[in-house]
Amino acid sequence: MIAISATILRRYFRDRSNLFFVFVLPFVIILLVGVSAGSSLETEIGVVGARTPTGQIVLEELGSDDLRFFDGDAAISDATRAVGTGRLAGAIVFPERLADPIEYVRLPGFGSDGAARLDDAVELVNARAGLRAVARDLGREAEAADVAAAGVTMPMVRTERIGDDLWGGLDDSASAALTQTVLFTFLAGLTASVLLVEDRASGISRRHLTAPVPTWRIVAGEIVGRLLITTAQAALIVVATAVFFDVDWGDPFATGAVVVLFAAVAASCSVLLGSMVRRPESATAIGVTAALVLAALGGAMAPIEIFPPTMQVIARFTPHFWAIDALTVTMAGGGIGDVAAELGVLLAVTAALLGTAAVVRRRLLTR
Amino acid sequence: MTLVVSRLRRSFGDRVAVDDLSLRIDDGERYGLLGPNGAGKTTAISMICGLLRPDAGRIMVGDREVTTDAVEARREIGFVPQEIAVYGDLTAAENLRLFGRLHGSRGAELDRRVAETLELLGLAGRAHDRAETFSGGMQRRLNIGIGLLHRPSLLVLDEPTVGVDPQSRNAILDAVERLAADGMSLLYTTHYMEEAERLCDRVGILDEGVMIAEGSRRELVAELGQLDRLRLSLDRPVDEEVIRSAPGVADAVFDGVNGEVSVDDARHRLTALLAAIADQGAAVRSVEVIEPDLEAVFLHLTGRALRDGGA
Repeated sequence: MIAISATILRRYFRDRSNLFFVFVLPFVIILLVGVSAGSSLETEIGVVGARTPTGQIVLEELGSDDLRFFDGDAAISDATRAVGTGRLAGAIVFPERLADPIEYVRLPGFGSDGAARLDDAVELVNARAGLRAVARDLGREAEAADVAAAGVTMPMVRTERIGDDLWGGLDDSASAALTQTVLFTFLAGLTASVLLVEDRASGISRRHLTAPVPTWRIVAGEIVGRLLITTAQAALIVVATAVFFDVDWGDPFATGAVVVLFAAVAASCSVLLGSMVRRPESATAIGVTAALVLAALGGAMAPIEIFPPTMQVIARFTPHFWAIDALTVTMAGGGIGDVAAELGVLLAVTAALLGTAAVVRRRLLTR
Repeated sequence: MTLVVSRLRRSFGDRVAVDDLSLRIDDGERYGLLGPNGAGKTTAISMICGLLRPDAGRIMVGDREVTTDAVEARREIGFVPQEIAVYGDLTAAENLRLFGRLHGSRGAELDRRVAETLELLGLAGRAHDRAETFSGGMQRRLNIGIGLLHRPSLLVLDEPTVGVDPQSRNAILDAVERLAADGMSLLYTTHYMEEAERLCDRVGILDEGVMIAEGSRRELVAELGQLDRLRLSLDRPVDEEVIRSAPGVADAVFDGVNGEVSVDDARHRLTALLAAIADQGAAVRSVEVIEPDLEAVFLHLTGRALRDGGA
């Protein structure tokens, strides 16, 4: 069994294209996501209440670049809708009273540049003279008195997010690391199915059976070999992102359990695909397509929170959804008890797929 | 190691691939299983090697029953499949090591066997090259090496020379002959009669799943009543009747100085025949011995040529 597993590993990692997919591509994607963290395609920021005292004071520091002003009774709802539909990176809502906090509205995971810009402006206001002094400079004695009465020394910015937190509110690097782990672990498994198809076509699978080894041990060797590949892929991304991207994966036991179970799902699918397909080119095409489609459906390419309700239900039929759900919890500080349900689902899927793969493979070899 | 196959039968749907096959290979014996494509040779040896379960019949390798004790029986068998079943992306040594480990070899013993096998097959200089860089003949040799690495008592070779050039074929046959000389029993399937005649002590001829004849080449030829022929060229005409009366001669036909004589055993009768010619004052310019071959036997038994016998 070990001899077969070791041979699978050796052959898989001897292929340069596999090395690229395992060691290079996941990290290029994570790096790109990390570099573009917090940015969104839309840079314009909406402003409601520009003529309020707070608005005047802060906008003086903020400047007027990339700002779109909203007035009237429906200004707040118009600006919020523009953010929600992606036409604005975010929206600033200045209060009527100086003592009240400034609201910054944005979609979870998007438009954080605007919030940072607003924070900087507020800090500059405070650094310049303090809010009360600025109000006095502007000849607004009443507002200055309000500020003094409320004991406010600087305006506050309160960020409001529209909708659910994406990927559990993880930052961009963490969510990228999480989704790429799931995507590439499954992809590694399905691409490893090609070796099985090649072995069958060349007669090597049949030749294994001439050795004085029970068939179940040969099948186990084939499955374990693929499990080692998928686990190695997952472990590599987890460790590398923790070390080089400072991603906090949380409880190592809980994360490890999720990763190994998901790797087992990928390995089982690999053996199943390798047993059902006759041509290596077909295995590659089907494997890559299935890996990408399942990743998209399961929320590894875009946050599940932005899916329509029907797609959110469909996502639950993919192992990717449960792995992402569990890892989101562990990355947010959850332990093994907090992901028991997700682990249960993954365990059931693993058992079903592993059993099916072993039976199908054994039958194929001995018929 | 003795192989005894008794009344073996296997069907695929309505098609009977092997029907009531029985054969025996004694320790150190070289047995050829001949037949055209589709005759049932590969099905038969797949069952003998435990790769395919028979519908009926019994296979004993030594004192092991293959159908009920396949794992132990396989220890005694080395299998060389018809296709080149080697890992192209592994080196020759890595291929041998993998299959050696599957057969239970480890450590220094495995190292030694790998080295010996590479040497035997003339691949020692390419031990650390990937098999995919080898020529077809070298890959065939590696294919054989995997089958004999664990020093089996019975080596089963399924058409091991299909598609190789004459030089590589010779190298393969030489290697097989050396193994046989070391006392390894051989079961060799082929549809090349000349290979069977060169390698095998006995042959069985399989056609449409049925064993239609079995024995040594000479026995099969004798069974069919086929005679050897001597094609002679003399320096002067001789009396045909005198030649016909020589021991073992069945017939003689001459046209002037050239003629053909049918005898029961050309190699044994040649000396007496040449003496009878000399007694008539004639000298032999040339003589050609034509022995009936297995091809003729197969043609006689089935009415079809062996190599285009169809699947």
